Amino acid sequence: MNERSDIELYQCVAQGGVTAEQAFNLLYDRLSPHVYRYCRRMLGNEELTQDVFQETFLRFYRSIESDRNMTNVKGFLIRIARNLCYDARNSKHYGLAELPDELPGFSVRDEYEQKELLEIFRSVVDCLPVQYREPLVLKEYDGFSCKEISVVLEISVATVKVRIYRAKQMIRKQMSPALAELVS
Amino acid sequence: MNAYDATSPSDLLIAFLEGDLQEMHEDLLFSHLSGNPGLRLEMRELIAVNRLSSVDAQSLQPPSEWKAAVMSDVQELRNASVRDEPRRPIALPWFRTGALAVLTMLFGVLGTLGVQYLVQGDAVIRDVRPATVTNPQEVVEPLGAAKERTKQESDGSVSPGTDTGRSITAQSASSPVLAGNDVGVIIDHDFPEQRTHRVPSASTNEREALSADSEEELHRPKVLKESSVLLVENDFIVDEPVPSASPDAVLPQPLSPDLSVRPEHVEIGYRNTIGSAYPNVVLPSELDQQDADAGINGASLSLLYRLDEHHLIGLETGRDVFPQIYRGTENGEQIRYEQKPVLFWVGAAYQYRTGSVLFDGLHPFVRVIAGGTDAGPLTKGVAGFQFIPERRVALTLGVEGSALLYRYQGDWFSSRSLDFTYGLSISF
Repeated sequence: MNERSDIELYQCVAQGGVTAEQAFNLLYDRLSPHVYRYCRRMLGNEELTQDVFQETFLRFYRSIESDRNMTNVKGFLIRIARNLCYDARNSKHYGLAELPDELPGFSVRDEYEQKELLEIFRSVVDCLPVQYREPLVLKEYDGFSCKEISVVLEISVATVKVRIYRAKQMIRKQMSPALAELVS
Repeated sequence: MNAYDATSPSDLLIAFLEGDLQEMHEDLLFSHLSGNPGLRLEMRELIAVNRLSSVDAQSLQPPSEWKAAVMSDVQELRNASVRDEPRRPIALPWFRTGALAVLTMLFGVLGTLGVQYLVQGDAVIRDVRPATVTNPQEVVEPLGAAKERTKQESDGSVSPGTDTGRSITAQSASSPVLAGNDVGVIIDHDFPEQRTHRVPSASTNEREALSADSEEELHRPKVLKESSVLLVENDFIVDEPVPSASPDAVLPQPLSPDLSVRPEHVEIGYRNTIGSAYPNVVLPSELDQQDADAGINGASLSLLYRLDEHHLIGLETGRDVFPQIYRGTENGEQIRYEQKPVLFWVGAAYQYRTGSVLFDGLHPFVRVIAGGTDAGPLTKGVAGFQFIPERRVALTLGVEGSALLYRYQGDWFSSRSLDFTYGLSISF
């Protein structure tokens, strides 16, 4: 069962039977980190992330059909998560992350400072505009290719690349003092 | 078309780091890097961003306890009992249900008449003509009278052709008795002991045609002995004793059913039921509809017409709780619905009530109801006793079984009940 592809596991679940539960468990183990990373970075809120994360898998399970022409299970799952994240962001419970007024420039010398730098990085990413943040997360966190991202987001490949470029440049500019310390 | 601006050193740099830089632009980028320290710093910072994003991605793992919650939800979906908004699988629209009830009632009526006709066996329902005919040959006489006349004629005591009485003997005919207005005394050769059944003439013309003597004779034939006769119940009661037949004479046969509608034959009834229904459905209180208007759940009203002392037909309607459990597939998943809708039902009813048993007024009965609800066809069967202390009142006690059929995604399901029933009927 472990050697089977995502699509084969999906078909196992769709057909039901004795192996369906095991197949779904395997799919969860493989794809849950991707869903979590995407939700976590898109929502910036652990509580909302948990709700969207669980609902994503429930909707995924409900939508499993044996006659569906499934070609990319991860992409299908991310699309579900994306719609749910969109709804969550529009809900009253969602609050925009705010960038600290000042990012201290400091040398990263120990583990604590490394963690602090990582937190700053996360904060900056959470504050990126959605249209730039989303392709960045899909590429850097979920490992999607630019072509797969273009299918999920329904934009051109060139647009995906441009937005990724812009996202990284924004992060760099926001973290410039801390990064300068880091790379000096 | 490139995703980057070839004139911008930053774009060239980032395209290079993303692996998108075209070969023809690489020399351009390297020349920028060699002459621009700021660009080299920018490159190192972008590399750091890439590393940070990689570290952040690896650090983001879903909490292990979330898996148990997801699997628990999925398991619940597999055996879902949807208990939110109740659904009613529509099996038959109302008009089809109504058509079914009408057809069933017609079947019941025809069947009842047919059964009654069969019960009378070879009983000859003869054509009865009003006694206005002047042709002596058409004067109907009891068989006994004919024999008596023959005897009298043979011994000379009576001249041939003299009428010894104007009681009517039904002619031998295959046509049914003229309904309603005729005075008829039906003689059945095979059942000499049967009661007389008289239907007073409603036609004044016919009455006038009869002589006073003959009319009297009609009611009191000479050849018949006077004796008390078992009186038929209700409207069939004969106020005065009806002469019973002599061994030689054959008593008239009850007429075929009078198909005219008589108010006194109408029974209005109310019944209530207490009992158990299947399948057993337990719902949260906010979803359980049966408590609303609980007083009328299980109640029914009936409007029956008494064809004769045994047979009644009509309509019955009521309201009941019908527990439902049904299964199907939605969005690729197996799903099960449980609900307890309260539905109105209506149906055609047929009842058979026997004569008194054990003591006067206690009558076993059975009633069959065929109809439906807006969920599907319904059938009920009731059996028990009716106590009739007085002609217009009947108390009912018995057992009722019912079955509702309904359909969901091509599969049939049923809701059944077995109840104790009690009620009251009133006639006009």
